[in-house]
Amino acid sequence: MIDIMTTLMTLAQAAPEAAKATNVITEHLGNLIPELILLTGGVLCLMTGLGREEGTRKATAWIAGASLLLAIIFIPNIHTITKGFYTKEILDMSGFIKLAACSIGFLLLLVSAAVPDLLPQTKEAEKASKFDPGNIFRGEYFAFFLFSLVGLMLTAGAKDLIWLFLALELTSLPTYVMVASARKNIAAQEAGVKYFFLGALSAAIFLYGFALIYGATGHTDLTEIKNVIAAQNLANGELSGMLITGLVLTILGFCFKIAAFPMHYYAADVYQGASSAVTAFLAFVPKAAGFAALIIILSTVGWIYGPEKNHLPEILEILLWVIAVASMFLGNVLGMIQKSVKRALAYSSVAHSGYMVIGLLVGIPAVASDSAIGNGIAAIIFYLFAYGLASVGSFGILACVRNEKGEEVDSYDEIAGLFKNHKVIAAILALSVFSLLGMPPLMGFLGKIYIFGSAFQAGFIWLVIIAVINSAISGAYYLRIANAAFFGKPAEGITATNTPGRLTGAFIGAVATLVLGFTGGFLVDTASHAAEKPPVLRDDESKDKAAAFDINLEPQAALNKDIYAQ
Amino acid sequence: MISTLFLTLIGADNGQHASVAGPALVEGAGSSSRTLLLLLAIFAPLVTGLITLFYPRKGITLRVLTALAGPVIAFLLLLNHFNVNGVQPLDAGSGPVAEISWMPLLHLNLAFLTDGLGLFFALLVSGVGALIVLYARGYFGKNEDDLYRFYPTLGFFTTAMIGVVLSDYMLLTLLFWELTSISSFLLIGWDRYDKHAVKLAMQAFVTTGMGGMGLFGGILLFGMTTNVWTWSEFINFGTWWQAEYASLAFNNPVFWAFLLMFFGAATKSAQFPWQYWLPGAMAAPTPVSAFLHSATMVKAGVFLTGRLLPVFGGAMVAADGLRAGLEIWPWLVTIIGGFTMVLGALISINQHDLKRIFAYTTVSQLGLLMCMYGLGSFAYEHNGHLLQNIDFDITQIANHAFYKAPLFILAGALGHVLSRNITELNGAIKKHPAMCITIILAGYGLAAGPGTISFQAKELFLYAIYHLKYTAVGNWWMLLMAAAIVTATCNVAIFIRLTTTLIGLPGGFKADPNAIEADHHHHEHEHGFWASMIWVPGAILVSFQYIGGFVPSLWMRVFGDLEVYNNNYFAEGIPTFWGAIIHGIHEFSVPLMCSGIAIVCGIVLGFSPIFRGTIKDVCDKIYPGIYWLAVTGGGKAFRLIQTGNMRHYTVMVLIAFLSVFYFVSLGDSKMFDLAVSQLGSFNEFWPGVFLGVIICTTALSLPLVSHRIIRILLLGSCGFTVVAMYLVYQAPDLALTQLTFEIISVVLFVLVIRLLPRDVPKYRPNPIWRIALGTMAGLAFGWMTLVAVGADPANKLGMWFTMNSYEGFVRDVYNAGRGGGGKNIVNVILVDFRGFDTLGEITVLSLAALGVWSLLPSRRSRKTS
Repeated sequence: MIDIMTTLMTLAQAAPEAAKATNVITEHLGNLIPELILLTGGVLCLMTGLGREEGTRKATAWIAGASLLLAIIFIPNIHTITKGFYTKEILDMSGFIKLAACSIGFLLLLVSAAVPDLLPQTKEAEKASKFDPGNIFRGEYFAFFLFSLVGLMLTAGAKDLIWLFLALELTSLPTYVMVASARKNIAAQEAGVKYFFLGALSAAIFLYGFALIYGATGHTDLTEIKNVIAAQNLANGELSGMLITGLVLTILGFCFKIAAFPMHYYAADVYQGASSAVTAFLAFVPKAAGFAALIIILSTVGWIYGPEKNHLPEILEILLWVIAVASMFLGNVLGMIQKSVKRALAYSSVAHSGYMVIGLLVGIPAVASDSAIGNGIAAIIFYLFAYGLASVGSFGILACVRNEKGEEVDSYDEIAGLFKNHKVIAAILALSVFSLLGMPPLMGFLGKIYIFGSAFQAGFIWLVIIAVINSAISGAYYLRIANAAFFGKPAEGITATNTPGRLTGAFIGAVATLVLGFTGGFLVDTASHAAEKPPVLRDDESKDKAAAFDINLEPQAALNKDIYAQ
Repeated sequence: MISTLFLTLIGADNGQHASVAGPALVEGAGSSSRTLLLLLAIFAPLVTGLITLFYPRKGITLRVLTALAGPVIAFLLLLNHFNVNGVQPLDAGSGPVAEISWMPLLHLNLAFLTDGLGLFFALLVSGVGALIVLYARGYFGKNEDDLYRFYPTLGFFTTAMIGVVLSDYMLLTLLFWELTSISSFLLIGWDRYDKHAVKLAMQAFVTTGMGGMGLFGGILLFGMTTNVWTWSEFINFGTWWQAEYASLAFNNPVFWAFLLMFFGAATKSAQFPWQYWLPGAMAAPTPVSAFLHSATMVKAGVFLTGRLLPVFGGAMVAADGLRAGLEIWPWLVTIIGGFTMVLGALISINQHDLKRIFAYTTVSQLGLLMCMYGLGSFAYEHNGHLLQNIDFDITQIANHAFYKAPLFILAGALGHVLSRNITELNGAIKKHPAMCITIILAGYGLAAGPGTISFQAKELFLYAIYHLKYTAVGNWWMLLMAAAIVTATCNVAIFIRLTTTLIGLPGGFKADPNAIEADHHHHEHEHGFWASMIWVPGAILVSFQYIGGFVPSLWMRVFGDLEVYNNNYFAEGIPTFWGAIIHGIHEFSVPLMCSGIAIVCGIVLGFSPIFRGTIKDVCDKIYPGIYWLAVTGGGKAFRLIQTGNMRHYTVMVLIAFLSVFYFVSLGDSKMFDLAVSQLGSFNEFWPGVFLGVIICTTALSLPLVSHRIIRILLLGSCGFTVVAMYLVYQAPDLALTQLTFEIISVVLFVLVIRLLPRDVPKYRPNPIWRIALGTMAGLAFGWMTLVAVGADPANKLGMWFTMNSYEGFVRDVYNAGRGGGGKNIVNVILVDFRGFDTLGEITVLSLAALGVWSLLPSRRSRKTS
């Protein structure tokens, strides 16, 4: 709560006009209802998690789930859901990311609802005759879960550097604790420490970057920053070195959140060390927050260069190019040679960040085309959705299955022949990894068309060729997973945990990749609409775009209704 | 959309396909039923295959009949289509392609193109598919486990394959294309517990999947450049074409798009150097080999090349002769195809396993088909007419299917009853006359003997090569002709050896007891109708060969309408073989002579003792080699960068960060100048410099001492100097805060560290580069600080605080400001500008204090005791 208050107040106070300040506050509070609901839910979780009765404690997960569902309803502009599918009412990126955060967050909650129950310390504490609230991890777990999601949602709606920083830290800090939740598991502890230290390092780096950006522009408000940058660019024909340095540091710092080169080193160790349900969370939430932050920061400086080539400053373009290529190759080549499925999926997460960084390079075209392909930002947010669903499915399944020692399965040998005894589980796993591979007709395929096509449109042909080669390389390990699960010789003593929520979450995730692969057109549409304008607009731009947007909306919406009404 | 799909699928179950009336989502309602019918034809095999999953495991006959229904329904629907609507002509504009919107934004809709090429392939796939269903019953016998799994997978493949050839949207083709790769993977790795088979399945999948990615890239690149997303629009060669697309230039996106698409086609159709996966795919059960790896899936690449030919390869246009395609087409396609053709033939004769022999002849024949499309981009003059150098391509493709599928079917049958190794089949005709006669008849087709349609097809191909003489190629046609002769020789020799061995004549193979490689699959022998299904489908297919050979007019009745490339020269259709021979002798035709040479050489080679061993294809090493390279290289890289050591990760991050930083700042001289100018004014205030030197000295001496307490004290002295710095720069409040913080932290550190175990000095390797890295990092941060100090933004928050704190100033300057109304700026900031922050801080602190109080041990122990 403090963070938000601080930010709100900073924002209000720093705004030059008091009249504007009040508007900003009310406007923001109106947009923040879902976050407030989740925060309230988090606080409630903290209380019920410490309840004296076991029933009260068990209600914690339900409270978290209910607050997530309630939050979805209050996502701005989503109240127009009338006919089952909402069509185009999400009009900005933050709305789309909030929707993704809450809906995938709900699946993640299903997957990880049993995490506190399965922890040894919780089991002991529940069985102990004496009331031992300190070791029952429910309250903290679900509260942190919700707080981190709130962080993601706040990041997506950030309008100020300080807000952005606090929101990002709100996303990350709870995850450090969630990773280390298994106190008796040394790997988890090691993962937690690594994650924390490298996370702190990255936070320091991007905070330094923020400071330099502030120094170069004199503002923390992103709209003002964009105004100043545009003015500087107009006056000098280039950007100041300090601003560029600040942006470079910021991007590098954000690379930690998205697990991309050069900050990806932690990914494999941490993803493997954490319990699989938490890994699913790590794979989606910080990554989404990182991409939202990157989009926001880059939109202050990028996509304003010229009428048809709306690209970033050259240095940033080179940097992002290197990040994309290095992440893809490192992720896919290293993923191929892993013996552990979780590590392979961790590297695949690095590679997927590489694919999505391509979308950052593409950006939002100055002139919107009639085709959805072409808008890199829309492609990213759609891809995030696809990736989130598939990673819920794959990590959720790994969380569902235990080896004979009662630990989570990790190696290829342990998931071998899963199909023989656990048909549904193997099918979910296969669907998820096929979606990650981008196999038609799954959702990952649409995501890849979307990103690669946009990159083509923007002229990044080499990047697309590299990305396609990488997709082919990635086939090797995704297929190895599916192959092991279907054709291998079943390992001894593999059991499925008795956690219906976990299986349901993974099942919904995997089936959604299939169903949305067929019917995902509406989501593509929503994404392209959500990203029609950059999240940060110059003062003059916002007026123009708003006018243009009103005119465009009508025929598009009508057309859409025809197509998806059936 | 989905609901329509379901409706269609349900229609398939009940056979009420005609009554399916989709909602008004179809553009051009007149032909919507056509699209729905085609959709039904595509999905019928999959649906019936899935239905068999619900049958009791013992109901084998029902299972077979249901699985049979799918391809048969598809075949009949397509046939009906063929009769009623006629074949969609090549240049029919956008054609009667009805479209069901799926994802219009991504250029992915349901629309189907039934031109001759697509319809022919769809008929071939569904027709052969029906026969394969029967053959699988004969092959697997009463093994319900195998049949239970086989029919759904087969239906899946059949659907995917029909989808590939009928789709109008390029991306829809790609979608089905990838599905064929998946189903092929499932079918090759049929024996799940055979690691070798699974590895080979993987090899096939990775190779063709990589090609699929290439195709994907090609389609995207092409669509983005030209905004053409459907085959009908593509073939139509409309206004989208621009002259520079034809060039060989590297900045021509269409050139690259073609290369990528051809890469997809070449991997799928096993062209050199990707031919290795096809013989490897023989690990599949024989029904799969007969269906996928001879007649259908491997031809997808040929199909794609045929699709691309009219635009990328060039086509005849009545007005202005041959409209040339891409400059690269004739060379690339012809040479790769021709080389694959002769390579496949040479390897095939050096094999013993029947399936491997036929696999390599398939590779060879696929090369021939590719080569045929390559030759199709040339044109030659004949009797004053300019003619395109390609005739009856559909006949060529059909010809191959009608002898190769029977060969595989019978190879499986012989492997089932005897052996698949040709050396062990001496005199087999006495035991299994029907099978052996069928395989010999099919082998005669392989040898392209007179009397089969294969003979005329080969003559057409040789004519196409011969006509190169009249093009820019000139006398180089002889090279290709030589390759064709070698290929034909090998095919004839294989036929001779097969026949002599089976009949037990001299010249055939004798049994070699050392090499026994029987088919993996054996079940108890049965008799009767179902048992005969192991060879009857082959006999049915091979009969087409002889119909075409003896009654080409009948053949033309079936296939003639599908043919697009039918030059005036052959206006009356394919000649009968005797007609062709008589005509050829009369005219002293070079192609006929060449084919005579090939037959004679083939017979000689067939009886000769040379080339009787087995050899391995060098390209077989490609996939394992690349795999090994990736794994080893990746492993090296992995051990280098992913050590699991936090310190190494930090070093990596620092290196990456520093290199980017220096890259940025060295490219921008202004930043350097700014830093230098800031540094230049260091002598403005000497006390600051003095304190700065102290801070630097203490900081630099930190790494040199090893005792922890001394380090903490050094850190503390660093901090106290900062306090002094604040004091001399007249910031007493900051100095006070810093002082308090320093005292507390030093005391706490000392107290805590006393409790820690003794610090064991560690061996630290490579201190030099650590020092270098540290120096670079220090320089970078110092540099950034200097740059930051030098910046002078127009708007500073501190300034705003100053101006608004005191009531008197502000009102007039900024009308909107209200002023803090205080005299002490710190107080105003704390209680006014950041009032909520302060409130929050106080709240948190109080809550924390309450928490600590509740946790105090003394209180709890008192309570519990």
